[in-house]
Amino acid sequence: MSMDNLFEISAEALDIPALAASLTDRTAGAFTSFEGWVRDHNDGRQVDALDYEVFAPLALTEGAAILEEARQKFGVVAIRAVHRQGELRIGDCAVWVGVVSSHRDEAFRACRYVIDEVKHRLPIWKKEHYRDGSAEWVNCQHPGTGHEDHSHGDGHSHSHAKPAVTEADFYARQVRLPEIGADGQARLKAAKVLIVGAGGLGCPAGLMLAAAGVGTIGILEFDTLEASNLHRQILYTASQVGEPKAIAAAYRLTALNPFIDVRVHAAKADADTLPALFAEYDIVLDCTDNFATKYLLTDAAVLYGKPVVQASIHRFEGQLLTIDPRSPGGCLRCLWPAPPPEGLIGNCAEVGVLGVTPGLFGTLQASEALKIILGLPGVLDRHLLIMDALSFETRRIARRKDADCPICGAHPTIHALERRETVAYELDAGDLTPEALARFRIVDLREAHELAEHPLPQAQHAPFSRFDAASPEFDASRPVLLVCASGRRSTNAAQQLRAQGWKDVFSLIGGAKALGHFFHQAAE
Amino acid sequence: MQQIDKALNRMTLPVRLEYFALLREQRGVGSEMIETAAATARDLYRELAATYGFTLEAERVKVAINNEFASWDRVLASGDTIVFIPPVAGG
Repeated sequence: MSMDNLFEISAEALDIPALAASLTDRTAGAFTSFEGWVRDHNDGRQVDALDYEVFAPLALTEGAAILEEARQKFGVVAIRAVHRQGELRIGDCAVWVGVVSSHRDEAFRACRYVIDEVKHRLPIWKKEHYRDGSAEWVNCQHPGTGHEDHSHGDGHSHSHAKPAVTEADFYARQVRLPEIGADGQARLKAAKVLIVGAGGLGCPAGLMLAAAGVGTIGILEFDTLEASNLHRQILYTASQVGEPKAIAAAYRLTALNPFIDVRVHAAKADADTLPALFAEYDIVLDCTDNFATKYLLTDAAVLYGKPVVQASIHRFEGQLLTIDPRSPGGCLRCLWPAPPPEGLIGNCAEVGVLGVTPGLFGTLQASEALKIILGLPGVLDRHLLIMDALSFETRRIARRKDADCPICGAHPTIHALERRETVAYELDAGDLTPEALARFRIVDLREAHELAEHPLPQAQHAPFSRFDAASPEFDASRPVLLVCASGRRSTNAAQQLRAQGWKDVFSLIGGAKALGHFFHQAAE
Repeated sequence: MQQIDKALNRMTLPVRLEYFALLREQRGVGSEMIETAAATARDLYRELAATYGFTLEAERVKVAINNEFASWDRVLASGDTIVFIPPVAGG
């Protein structure tokens, strides 16, 4: 009889007798298992607890591959492995591997192979909470950069010579400022700031806030790192491409400042996630790159009464404002009541960006947050700052609440965060099948210079800059799936074509990256 | 009266214009000094939009005059610094 291998990620405590029982097999003469436990020390430091963050989509695929490799390599009957995620206490079982086979030798060897490969290859990070109140993210995937929690028998003497960093030393230079002092530093430690978008703006903002000692920093970001992010997203390294950015960012910020709590929110900013996050944090930095989310965060600022520091850039220019619901300066909608139609104003993927521009503005966002926390003057709650990084022409323009503003005016028309329902003509790559896709002609609306990033040789190219719904460059009378970099321009084009009466026109959410990923998976 | 109006319309005012983001690209310069016969900020923007092919309508753009956001109906004065600002969203 043959049994299937099974690799799982569990948020619950492991039921080890049940796991072992599940591997009972009459053809097997041997069973071995391995248990990895949370121990109370690592590298000479007292550990109180651990948080495991697992990037599940990748971990499940890679874990299943490891088990199958081991089964073929050692000829065992079946292997089962489970890795925990979430918060673990001392003594909890973090990982369990069980192998059944005909004889003991291959069972031992397969078990050893699986646990070694799991520790080296799985996208799993752990945050160690130390007895002294500090914490550190350890990437389990890169043993060279972190610590191993299995015995490696080298006496781990490598880090004992390092001088201990104390909080007092860390903040010594800024505490010296009369505007900060010990009181100010305590206020920073008590503050909770949420960074929405860990990209070109969020990376420098995060570094500055972490270094200044903001006690709790949340990272809300659902995306994974791409090579084209690295020139401006300075929290990450080239070796992290493909990893979830929220976790990689938390890892880097905790490494910079072990005395702060960095929280991972690997999710989208939407009507489901924002209410709880606005309750959890004091200040929100809008480091996003699209109008839909900027307007959503503007509305959330007013609805939930928390300040939102907003920056946006365009090539070498940027703008910065702080939306404080209690201020007479108003909000983003007081200036521009609604976002412009998608595609009218380019984003970074379309028009390009040099890293220093978001670098400057992300740093300014951190400065605004610190000013708010410390009660320093000059917060941009009644002004909009615009700056051209080439000429250094800067303007600080006074703004006032608009009585007709749809969210913060005298008679608001917006009373809740907008739910972005998937419109009937938007398709999600997760719902695609090869059969469904075969029905469509794929039209790539990206500009010529964007195509190399996620090539789609299957698509007809018809750049959005030349798009005319009245006379499209492609046959709109047949089923068409429109694709761009993100799904914004393609949705705009699909709307326009449907307004012209074409019925079988769809836009792909997630754009060329999502479709390329789909083709890649379908080919495997 | 009509004659007076005509005479007024021919009067021009020196103003400084600054363009932000997309408008800077479509105009080709970041700032310029011009003489304008436009009475209001809206009239001025419409003239510029027609001349330089701006793709954004006035309603999508904010105008600031002398470092303060202003209404499109604002009457222009000699020496005004007028900044046209479209929304941007890059990050």
